[in-house]
Amino acid sequence: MSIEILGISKNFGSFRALDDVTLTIAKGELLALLGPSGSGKTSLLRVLAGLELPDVGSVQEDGHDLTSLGARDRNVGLVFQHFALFPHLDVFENIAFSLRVRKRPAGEVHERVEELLHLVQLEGLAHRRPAELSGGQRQRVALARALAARPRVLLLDEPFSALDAKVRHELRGWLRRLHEELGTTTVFVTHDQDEAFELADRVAVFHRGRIEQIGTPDQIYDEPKSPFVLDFLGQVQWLEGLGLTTLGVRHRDVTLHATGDMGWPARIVRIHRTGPRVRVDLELATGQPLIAALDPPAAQHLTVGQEVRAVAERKYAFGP
Amino acid sequence: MIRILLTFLAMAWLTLMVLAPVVIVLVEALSAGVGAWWQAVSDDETRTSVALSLKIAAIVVPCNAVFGVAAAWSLARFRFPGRSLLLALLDLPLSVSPVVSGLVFVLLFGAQGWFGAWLQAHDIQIIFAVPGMVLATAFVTLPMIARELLPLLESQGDDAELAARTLGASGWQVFWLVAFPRMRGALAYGVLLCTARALGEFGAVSVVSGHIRGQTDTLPLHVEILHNEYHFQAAFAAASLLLLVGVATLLLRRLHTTEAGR
Repeated sequence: MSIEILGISKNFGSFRALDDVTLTIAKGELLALLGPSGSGKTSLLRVLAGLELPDVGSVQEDGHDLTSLGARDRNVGLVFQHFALFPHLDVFENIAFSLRVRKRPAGEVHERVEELLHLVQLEGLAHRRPAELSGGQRQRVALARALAARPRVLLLDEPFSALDAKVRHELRGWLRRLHEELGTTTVFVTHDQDEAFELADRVAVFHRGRIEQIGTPDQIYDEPKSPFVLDFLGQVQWLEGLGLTTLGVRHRDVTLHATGDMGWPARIVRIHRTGPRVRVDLELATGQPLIAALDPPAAQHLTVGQEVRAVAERKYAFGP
Repeated sequence: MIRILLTFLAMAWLTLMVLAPVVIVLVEALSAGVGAWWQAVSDDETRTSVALSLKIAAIVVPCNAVFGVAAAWSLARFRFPGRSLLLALLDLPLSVSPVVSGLVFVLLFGAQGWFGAWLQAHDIQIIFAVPGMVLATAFVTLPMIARELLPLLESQGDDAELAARTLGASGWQVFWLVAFPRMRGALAYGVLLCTARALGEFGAVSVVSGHIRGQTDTLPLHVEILHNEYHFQAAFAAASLLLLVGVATLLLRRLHTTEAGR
């Protein structure tokens, strides 16, 4: 069951949230919608959930038009950024909600909820209220609740942004394993490229309501199609006047050599440790700044003020 | 220094303006002893006026509760043409003098009013009768419950309700299973405030009541009548009942906030 998004546009007043977006989501895939805030990724998620009606275009599933189908009848599981749990219901009833409104027999509800509690590893907490749970636990309740009615698609809106860094990392791995286990087609929105690359089978990069590029994490990282994509992935220095076009050089692609005549002459301005790498700020002979992110051994013998040759192992140039 | 000064000022002002009148009401009410107080309170006319006040509140409060929930919900959740007009109108009863509100109803339903002739022809009495007093009280207390709910609904946001929709809930299910349970506390408090206000309403009701003794006298109107007739102790005894309503409201509010704080 693949989902096709065909030529969708959506305006909010004069703001164009989605601009002619076309995209096919394959059955069982884990797709990331990546982009800065306001780029349209969340709007697309809401269109998929049936919470927002597009101005133009359609959403189809195996040839059936879902566009005008409301959120209630779409059977998608949506996990909100801040989880949106029902604060007056306990964990059990939160998860059971979609089954209760479908008037399923109590025995079936009980069985399904127990199954989900086991899946999200919250067996002992069935009778806690959401307020009594940690962020990571709430996240997992929200996920179990969204999965209860066996949705066709699971949609996650910035699923980890409300959690602290450590929990975020744990849950990422856990979500990936869960997806492999269940095989539910999953679309998640994020502004964090690490999250997108670590989790997704494919990544769609959004910019100003359009899909700037879509592909596997390798394709996006190795062959960015536009300056925006390269820039958004971060750790890049733009150099002008070294040719006809602007060049993009990733910090990690710069190597430094004490001798030789390769690359550009440069002077070391500053050296400092940033986590696993050493960041070296350089000034090129042309006066332009350049940054090199080196492995600690490669930076061992460098000193501030030293004259070196900076070689960009890879340069990205984009046509006009 | 400034802290002490300001605190002292506030305390002194409160004592003068709030505590002193409360004490005076109680002292005057009990000036001739508990027996006289009880006699004044259990007097036939006083009892009728209490019954009428309760009757009016019993009609007005449920109406305003239903209206308040509907208005607050639609104002908080939907953007529709006329929304800001509705918001402004909602505040009108609070900003207009109750006497004016009363006069409006006289103008509409009184003998010389717009609908006066028609009402007379069909033998329907609104002004100088209970229906008019219900209308006037309802008007004056109209926004109280909606105003209590609106900020709560706005701060809650609609995420939980949207989540309920994506989980397959119908509009009614979203309301009864998610929205309503979350506003119960604020609704209860709004009902409490509205009841206290309805029982104590004077201005608007005074205009439409016609002061027919034993028929269109509510408790506040009865206090005024007693006072005008120089039955000071009886007037204060009746007034002490209204004071009790106020104190009860405060105590229940205390209960409500500690409950919400848990």
